Order: sequence, then C-alpha cells, then structure tokens
Amino acid sequence: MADWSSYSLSDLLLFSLQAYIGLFELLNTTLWPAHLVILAVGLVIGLIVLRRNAAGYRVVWALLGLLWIWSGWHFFYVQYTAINWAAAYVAPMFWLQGLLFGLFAVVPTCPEIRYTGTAAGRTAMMLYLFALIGYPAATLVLGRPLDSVEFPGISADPGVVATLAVLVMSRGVFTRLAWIAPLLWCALTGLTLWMLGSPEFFIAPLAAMMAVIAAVSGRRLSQSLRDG
Amino acid sequence: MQINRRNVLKGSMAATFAGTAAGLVPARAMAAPLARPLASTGELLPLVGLGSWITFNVGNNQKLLDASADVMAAFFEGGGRMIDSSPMYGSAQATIGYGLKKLGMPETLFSADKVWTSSAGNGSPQIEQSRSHWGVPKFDLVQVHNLVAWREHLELLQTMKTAGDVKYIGITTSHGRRHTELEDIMTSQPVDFVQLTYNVEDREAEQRLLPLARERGIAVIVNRPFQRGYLVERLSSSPLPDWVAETGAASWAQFLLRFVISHPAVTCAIPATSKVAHVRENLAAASGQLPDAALRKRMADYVGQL
Repeated sequence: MADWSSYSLSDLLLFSLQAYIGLFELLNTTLWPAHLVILAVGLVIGLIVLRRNAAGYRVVWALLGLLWIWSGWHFFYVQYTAINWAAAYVAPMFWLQGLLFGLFAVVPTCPEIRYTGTAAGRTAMMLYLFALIGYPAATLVLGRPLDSVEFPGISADPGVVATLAVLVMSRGVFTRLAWIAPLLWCALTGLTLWMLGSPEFFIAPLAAMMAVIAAVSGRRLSQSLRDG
Repeated sequence: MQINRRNVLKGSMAATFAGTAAGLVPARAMAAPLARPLASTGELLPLVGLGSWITFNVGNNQKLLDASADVMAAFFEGGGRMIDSSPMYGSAQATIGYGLKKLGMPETLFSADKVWTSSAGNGSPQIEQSRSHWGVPKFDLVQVHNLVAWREHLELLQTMKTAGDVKYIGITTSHGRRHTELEDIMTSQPVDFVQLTYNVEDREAEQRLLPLARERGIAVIVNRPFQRGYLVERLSSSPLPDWVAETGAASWAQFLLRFVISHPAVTCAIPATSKVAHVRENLAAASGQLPDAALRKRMADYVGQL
C-alpha cells in the first residue's frame, strides 16, 4: 500500500508465532499421510543421485519442479496467504522455479546431478538427508509440538534446503540461475522467523550458507583438477 | 502496600461518583467499564475496546479461531463494545466474523473497520467484503486506514454516512506518522473519529492532535497503547511505583492503559490480545477514578526514568 517507507520490518509482520505454528498444524493434519509418500519420493531422488543415472536426472528435475509448483500453490497461495497476504506474491517465484526445473528435465542437455565423494559432495548429501529427516526433527527439538513440525513438500523450508543440496551436486551453467530463488527464500524465511522470535530462524540461512560454500569449493576443486 | 486486582476494583467502585463528575459514566452497570459519550451523538463507548492486529490473524486453524472467540466472549461479558479491524490484518476480519457468529452476534457490538486501498474505485467493494467477513448488516464506524487515498475514501464514507450505510466515519494513523496531515484533515473534514498512536512513551499526540480532537468534538481511538506489548514486556522487569495505588492500577498493563484512557480527549483504547485473562485485565483498567493531569505526569515521569 502507499507510504511503505514509513513501515518498519516488524510492522509488516501480520501474524504471531502462534499463528505461524498453527499453520503447520493445519497443514500436517490436512495432508497426512502424504508425508510418507513424500519421504519415499525423497529417498528415491537420493538413490537416483547416488546411482548417477542419466535418465534419472530428468526424473529428479521433474520431481523438484513439481515440488516447487506444489509448494507455490498449496503452501503459499492456498494456506500461508490466510495469515499473510504477502505470501500470494511469493507464490509466483516458486512457480517460476518449478518451471525452470521442468525445463531442465526436458532440454536435450539435461543438467547432470552427480554425487562425488568430496567434502562438497558429502556436505550436499548431508544437507539433503537433513532436509528430509533432520529438518522435522530439528523443529521438534527446538520446541515445536509434534503436530506442527515442518516436512519437505508440506511446508516450504525443508523442500528448499533439499533443492539447494541437489543444486550443489548439479553441473551446468544454467543451474546457477536456479540458485536465486532458494537463496532468496532462505533469507526471507530466516528473517521472518527471527522477527517472530522463533528459535528455528537460523536453520534455513545456515543451510543456504553451507550449500553455497560447498558449491563454490566443489567447483574450485573441479577447476583445479581440470587445470592440473 | 500490597496491590491486587480486588483492592483496585473495590477502590474503583468507591470512586465511581468522581468518574461521573468528570464526564465519565459506567457503560452499563456498576461493574461495567467506564465510558465516554461521543460528541456527535452522545452514544456511550467504553474506554477500552479490542484491537485485532496480529492477534486475530489466525488463518483457518480451528483451535486458534475458537481461542479468539473466547477472547471476544470475555470482552463482551466484561462490558466491552468496540472491536477494531482492517483489511490489512490478514484473516482478522474473518476471525471476528467467526467469533461474532459463535456468540450470537452480541447486540452491544460497536463494529469499527477500515478501508485500505490506494484505488478509490476499490474502496466500496473492499468495505462490502469486510462487512461480509464480519457478518454484520453494516459497520458502526469505517475509517480510512493510515491516510491511504484519504480524499477519495472520505468522500465515499461521507456518501455512505448520508445514505445510512455507516454510522460514523473516521481516519487513522499509527506510529506517529503524518500527524501534520492528520491535523489538517481533522480541521477541514467532517470526521467523527480519529485513530492514532498514543502511549506513555509516544506522546506527540498530546501537543496538537488530542487538544484539537476535543475542540472539534472528534472521538479519539488509541492504537498501540502497549506498543504492541513491548512496553509491558520491557517494564515488567521493573517495579511498579510505591504510589501505584493512587493510579488505580494493579499491574503494568493497567498502569499503561490507565495513563492512556485518562486523557480527557481519549474515547477508547484498543489493545489487542489473544488471552482471555488479558482482555479482562484491560477492561478492569477502565474503572474507578482515573488519574488526573498531575498524576498522569507523574506516571509518565516514572516510566521515563526507568
């Protein structure tokens, strides 16, 4: 609305931590047992990455595309927007990211997703497993009730962290474009949770930082191996 | 001296006569919160209302919707009337509508909402959508939120008032924004209400806006009486003054609220809360003899030195 400059960041926060946690309670109740299906799909993605199957890369990108489009629609546009009208403006970013991954899945030069046993690769795989299993556990340990923990595919944050992990292992110039939205979201969600006073505020930004460091160090290593 | 709510309430009953003499009357009965009459119609409005910023934005979570309805139930049981909301407040309007329906649409409700859109053409449909969320036949008060497109919206609200579609019209600001422009509007436009931020620390309104409101018979709604809870949180680590009994407050929240509502220009303060105990505590602050100018200064000085 007009006169945005006179608002501080905390003024733009329309909801309480209680309402935010209540959102995940509602999501988990509504979508259970989809969590188990998502977990199974997540493990399949992990196996594909480990097996270095060229055809499998397309499946991974397609599934990630579906994840982002689904999150944009259900989490942001349908559910989160009930307490935060600004969420409706975030949804298109997720849809575009989903389309980008969809593009990766169909182009002839499908970007590779390659697990290497290097420190960067191990960090990526650790991040991926964290997104799948550790993230829900971390929210629980940090004080969320069991019915309000965050699962990938149900809420946005763990899915974004899983995406970053896959991106660390990906190859190809165009995949660099795909970093923008996840990094932006990690910053935004960290800021939101920090303003809400939630103890989980550091998780997504920390994961993003680890992913960036792993990606940069991994590329440097590849470069030096090529040069050397 | 040991201060508790019972002592304060006893004292407040004894002081009711003094309150009446100061232009204040109990809204309904002896235990009801004190009320001030609106200059334009004489309608009595209790000094404590209920805000909905953040607290009622609970989305579709049934548990939180019911908790909000409980807060509203306690508010009406305690003699409260004004509930204030805005299209800006997420699902707060729908939550209020849910609570009102659950409570059988209390007759004492004074419904206050806002129009918040930069497009003049969207004003009317937005007000209709807000009304639909509340489930009321029409609003008692519609205000222009944060002076957004105020010329166009005030014209619309004036037309609605003339047609009997709204009883009162007003304009709002918060956080001390655009006070000079607000002053111009209060001087030049026929508004019944003005809403602004006023609390023991944010006292700029005392200089010009509150005296002007009295002079022009404009009712004043005060938002952020606790600075969204930060004041209570910050002060709770400090002791109440030894002379707190003179203020009639039994807690920091009541101390802060009584400072606000004791200003003679203030019609209603609208603290928001998600807790039944807090809404009761807030309503209880509007009782007994309110602090006079000298005591109010002492209260502000005390907080200022903490």
